[in-house]
Amino acid sequence: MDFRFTEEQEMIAETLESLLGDICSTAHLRKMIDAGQTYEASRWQALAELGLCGVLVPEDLGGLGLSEIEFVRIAEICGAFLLPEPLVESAGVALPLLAQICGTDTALKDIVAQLAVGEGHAVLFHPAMPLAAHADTARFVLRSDGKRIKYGRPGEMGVQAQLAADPLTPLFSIAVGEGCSDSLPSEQIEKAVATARDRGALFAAARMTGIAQSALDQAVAYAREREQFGKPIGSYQAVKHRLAEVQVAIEFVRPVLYAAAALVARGDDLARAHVAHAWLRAGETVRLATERAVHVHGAMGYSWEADIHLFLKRALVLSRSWGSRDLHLEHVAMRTNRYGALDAERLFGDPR
Amino acid sequence: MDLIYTREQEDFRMEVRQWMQENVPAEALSSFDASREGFEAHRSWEARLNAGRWGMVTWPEAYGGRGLDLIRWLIFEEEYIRAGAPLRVNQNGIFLLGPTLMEYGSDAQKSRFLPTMASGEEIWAQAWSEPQAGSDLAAVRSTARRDGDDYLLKGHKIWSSRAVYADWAFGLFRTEPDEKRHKGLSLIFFPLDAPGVTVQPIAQIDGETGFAEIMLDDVRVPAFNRLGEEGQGWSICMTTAGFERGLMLRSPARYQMAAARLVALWKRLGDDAPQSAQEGVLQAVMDADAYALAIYRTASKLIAGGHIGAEASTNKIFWSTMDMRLHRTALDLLGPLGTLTEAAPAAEDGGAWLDGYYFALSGPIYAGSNEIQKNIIAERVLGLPRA
Ligand SMILES: Cc1cc2nc3c(=O)[nH]c(=O)nc-3n(C[C@H](O)[C@H](O)[C@H](O)COP(=O)(O)OP(=O)(O)OC[C@H]3O[C@@H](n4cnc5c(N)ncnc54)[C@H](O)[C@@H]3O)c2cc1C
Repeated sequence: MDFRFTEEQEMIAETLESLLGDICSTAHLRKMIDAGQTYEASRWQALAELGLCGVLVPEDLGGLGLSEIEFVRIAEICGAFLLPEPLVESAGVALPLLAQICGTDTALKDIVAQLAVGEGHAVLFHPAMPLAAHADTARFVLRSDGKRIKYGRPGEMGVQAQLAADPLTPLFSIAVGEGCSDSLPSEQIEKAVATARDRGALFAAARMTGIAQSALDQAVAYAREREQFGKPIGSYQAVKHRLAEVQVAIEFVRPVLYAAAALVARGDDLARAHVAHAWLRAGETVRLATERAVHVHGAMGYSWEADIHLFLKRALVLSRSWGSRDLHLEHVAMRTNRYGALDAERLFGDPR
Repeated sequence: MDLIYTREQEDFRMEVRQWMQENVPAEALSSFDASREGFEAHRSWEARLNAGRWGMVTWPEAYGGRGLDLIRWLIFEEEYIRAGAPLRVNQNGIFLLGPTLMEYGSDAQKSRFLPTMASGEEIWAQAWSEPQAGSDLAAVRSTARRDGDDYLLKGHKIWSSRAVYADWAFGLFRTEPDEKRHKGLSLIFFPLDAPGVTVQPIAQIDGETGFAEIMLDDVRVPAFNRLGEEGQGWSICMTTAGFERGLMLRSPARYQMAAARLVALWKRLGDDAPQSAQEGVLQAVMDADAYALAIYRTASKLIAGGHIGAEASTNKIFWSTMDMRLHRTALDLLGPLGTLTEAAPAAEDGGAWLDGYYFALSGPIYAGSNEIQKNIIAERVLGLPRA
């Protein structure tokens, strides 16, 4: 029992953090928005060079063969920097699913290997994810109703552009019933899709957590600088306490998030309930963090010029992805129905 | 990251479980606040725990412990609470003063005070607050005047939990009367039956005695009873407060058990439970899980040599808020039945939910109010400017 990330896990996170600090600042994002872009090939390339496009793909299929424990931190950092490119969507969700179902199909295995080194990206549509980002430029679009999987190129699958609140998240819908290849329903597919859905919710929660931290950091920075009545507004208790409450909320998302990742990695029965918990908590926290950060900025927070709205909008999109409050509460209720006299020893699942 | 109990940890859990099964009294002890008998029954339980070397498992063996790490302590607590074992009457000793003594005490002080603390022979109260010094603890006025090898203690302490029947208190006193605020304070122990000490019980919100006022009129104690250096009192108190807010005083199993009871109540009520209360029940389960996970994470960090910092304040806000929410949900589930006291024939769970609600109300106040914790987080974690 050791609830710390290993040195290697920390190192991956630090490397990504410093990379994104260099190439994914809000100034970079602003330039993209002004130019009407939502994807930057050079940034994708830089991520690919770190091997990040294939983190969850087994080594024999050309990936790094790491687990959700590594990826949860990656997703959190992608959230914190508002990474526009679909690293989490592809490397965190769609690609590992494809790797799981490709079996002996060599054409599919080739595609997996190429995607794992960043030659394009994949996206997944699912009942819990009816609007997927970056579907038009995907090399591979997967669509599942939870039981079967169809896949093909964006053109073949009938994806249609929608305009989302977040200027850097191009969302697409998918026409029902389209698609060139169709898998037969099987227990194995159903299980793989269920895991993909758990990953989707888990990594959405991770991104929301990263955004919450960034929004808090910005609110704090502003509250230290901005003066009213001759003092920094951050010296007033009404401001302090609102921000301290955000800090408390964030501190109690992270352990749930990381434990959920460990349980998904282990394939534990309890994983889904912890994922649901993380998703619910992260959603509440990022709402609190972004709304309060806007408020602490005053009218500046209501302007296009301040960066904070970018965080608010990404959070709006993510907190409505990979399930609803009702769905996730139901997953918590399923665990609760099994809750015995004191379930403490089952907190970390049932490894044996 | 490895979230699997080792074989040894599982064996340890079973060892605790078995001992508790064989030793926990079948009937609940009567409250340690309400009567001397209840208090003494709890003291006997502490002696029994100590005989099994379960008094304080994290302490070194020399002081009556087992030298175990914090993960084992969490497992111990889970089993202790699962077994329905009595509340720890010496909690201010073993959870607050004990660890502080371990850090600041001389060997002679540790040998003198820790073993009798572990065994329950000496039960401790905390005597910090004064009528004019609550949140603003640095405003304490009680003095300790040096007289040869002794101190003479004088002043007025208040809200001291369990001081009515306890044996000893650890108090915060001004050793240098000319120094202001945080300076010139010292932490000094005094027996509650020493000449010059008057203890006046104070009834709490539920009408039962729970804390007390302590008047000190030239109470003579040896300088040996001072912990740390003269003038070091404030920083020592902050160490103690870290234990109080952070980790030891409120172990996660307590809330997991409360959540499990709430779930049981909800299921028992079935269709009679109001629809709107369901989310509160699920929230309680999630809160208890989140708190436990956070504490396991902190424990892992501490075992690896880290220190408890501002988590102490975030933890305190979280457990006190969660406890309030949980009990409010229980009362909502029960509707009018929730307002019945234990004496009422129709009371559910012996009126425990109302009692629990009263107790939860004090959580945001004691151990440094939640407003004070938010100030600490804002200034020390977030780096916002002082007022
Ligand atoms: C059940 C219980 C057990 C206790 N046991 C002990 C014990 O064993 N030993 C002991 O020494 N003490 C004990 N206390 C006392 C406790 O430590 C104090 O109640 C606490 O420190 C608050 O002080 P106060 O009651 O004087 O409230 P005050 O300090 O008067 O505060 C009143 C209200 O004002 C708010 N407030 C105060 N200052 C500020 C500020 N700067 N900014 C914003 N809000 C502020 C507080 O948050 C609170 O809501 C106990 C209290 C309770 C309720």
